[in-house]
Amino acid sequence: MKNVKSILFQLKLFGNGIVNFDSGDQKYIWNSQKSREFSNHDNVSFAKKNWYKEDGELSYKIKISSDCLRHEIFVNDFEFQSPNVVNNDVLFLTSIATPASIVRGYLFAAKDLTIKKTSALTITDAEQTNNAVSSLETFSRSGKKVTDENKADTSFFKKETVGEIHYSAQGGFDLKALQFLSLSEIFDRLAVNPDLFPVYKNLLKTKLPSFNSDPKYYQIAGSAIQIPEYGVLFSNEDVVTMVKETLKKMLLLNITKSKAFAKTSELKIKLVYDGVEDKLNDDSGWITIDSVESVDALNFQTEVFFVEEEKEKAEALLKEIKEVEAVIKQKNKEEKEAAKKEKKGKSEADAQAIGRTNRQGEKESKENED
Amino acid sequence: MKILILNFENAGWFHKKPFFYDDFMFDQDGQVKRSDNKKQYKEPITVHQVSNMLHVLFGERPSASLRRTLIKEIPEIKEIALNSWIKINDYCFTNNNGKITFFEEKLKTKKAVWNSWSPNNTLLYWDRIEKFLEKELYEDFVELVKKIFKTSNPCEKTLMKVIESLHNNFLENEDVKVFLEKLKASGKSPLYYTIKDFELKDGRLKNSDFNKNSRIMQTVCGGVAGFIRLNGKIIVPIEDEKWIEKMRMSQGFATILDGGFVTIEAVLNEYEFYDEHVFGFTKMNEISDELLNI
Repeated sequence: MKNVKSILFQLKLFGNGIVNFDSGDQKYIWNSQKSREFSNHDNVSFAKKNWYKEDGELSYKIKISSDCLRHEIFVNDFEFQSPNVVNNDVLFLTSIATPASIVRGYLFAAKDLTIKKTSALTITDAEQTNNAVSSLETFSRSGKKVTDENKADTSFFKKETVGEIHYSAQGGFDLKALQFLSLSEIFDRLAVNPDLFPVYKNLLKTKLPSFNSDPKYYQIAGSAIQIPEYGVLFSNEDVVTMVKETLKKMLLLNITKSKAFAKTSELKIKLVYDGVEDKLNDDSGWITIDSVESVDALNFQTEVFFVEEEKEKAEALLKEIKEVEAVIKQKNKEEKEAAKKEKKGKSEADAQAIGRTNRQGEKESKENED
Repeated sequence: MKILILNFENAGWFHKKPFFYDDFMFDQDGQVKRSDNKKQYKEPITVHQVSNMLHVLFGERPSASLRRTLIKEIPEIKEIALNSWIKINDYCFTNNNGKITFFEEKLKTKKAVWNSWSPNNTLLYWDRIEKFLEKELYEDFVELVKKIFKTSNPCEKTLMKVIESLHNNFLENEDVKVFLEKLKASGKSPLYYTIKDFELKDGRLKNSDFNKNSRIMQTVCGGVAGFIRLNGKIIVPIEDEKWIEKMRMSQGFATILDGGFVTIEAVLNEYEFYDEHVFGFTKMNEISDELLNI
């Protein structure tokens, strides 16, 4: 069986109404269209759009942004990124030790330890594909105003609306990024504190039962950079499970707002065996995913992008690198402090010079008055 | 020689946003201030972004150009990037008044650092003030309110109303004066100043000092940023066909800027490539990688 390097996908959605709004600042672009009504007010909600310029004329296509899609795909597992979870180790590990977090990616920055995982899923905006035309509708809202008793209790506002609308998005799963979990700061992608890995492993096993890997030293196969990285390699079964879980979420994607919705109408994937031949714009090789059963029926072998490195050799090399890094870091720190002192000295000298000039000026003006 | 034609779409560019004094980044030197390093490129896509994208396409690790990292870029790949061409689709327009307007959209950002406290105006309520004042002082405050307003249940009124009333009507009251001095002496000056200089803005207290207090700190989970989505094409001439073989073994797509999806449109032979293909394109080595002083 050939090995899969990545998975491309095409996602189509259909819906009614606008599910993704932009800020009122869009009015400056909206008002530049010659064929549209002018919008003079601030209380207008515009849909997110991709703008195009053709022969000097502006046109647009309504879209659902990639950030909105990403949020909705993972909303049941990772409702929102809150940095406050880092205050409790178990709470923190519970939130990142899930297949959804590993695919989605996360970033928790701190002075002493920054934890991050690059997303293995890349997805574009879902752009309108049919010829639905939107317009600005006027609405009214009744409600007692608390802030100003002199104002009427009914307010008017405008909102962009549209009827039936179809969208299309595309993207890919980076199986190399998905396959490896770094436990090292060496390449600035520490995903889990190595001291807490045993707890992380137990928590992840509850969501990914096949996970049973232990940390070792690895290098990217065939890479010119022969520096080992300490981390965990997921097995083929782990990677396939995580991809399938995400495909199910995409298949069942249903974005609902109070007066609008958008849901998946079609999902197609392409298993990339050859990065040059299996292209996104090529019609061949696409597999239609139309049910949860067809996701479960998927079976593929992932390319192993990493090779294990001998522990002693890796540790000796990393020790050498760490010593050099410590020297560079100290040198940078000293240079920064010296630059700070120089800047402080210069500003004090400037302040003294200004003070002298002012006193001189006052003396001269006093003499003139006398 | 082969000619690689790449499509990119959805590349997010945070266009000329000024850095605030508390904007940080993290690299091999630890936490560093962005404003100290003036780290922002003038052009949306420079040779560094294209080089990093090619590194990933060829199965290598990218090397950050604005932060200090352990690895450097591979010179051969950087050279390939320098000889590439790029065309970015229109991302701005000039209106009738000659003003340039960018196709900017708003994005809800998520804070990555846990202690970004909210500098905005705040809302005070009884639970919050209890934590702020601590037991003894809170009991004194409750007794004061009971005495002043002649009530056995001070919490029947909102705390904001109580403070407003104290400010408007009771600043000369001896008991209130004593309590205010006690607040100052105990280091609880935010409440002292709030009662003395009570001011509301949009229904919230015009005082953000409460948000900084470690007992009742309100941290910010997100913010709003404006950015521009870029789409276009990159044409990459590749002399050594070993890189094509490396691409076959790699994932076949990469990312550029924030969330930009780069895919292979075609790999042409040299004889299939004409000058017309690069009409409207700019050579990467002609694009400045000047850093902005923002």
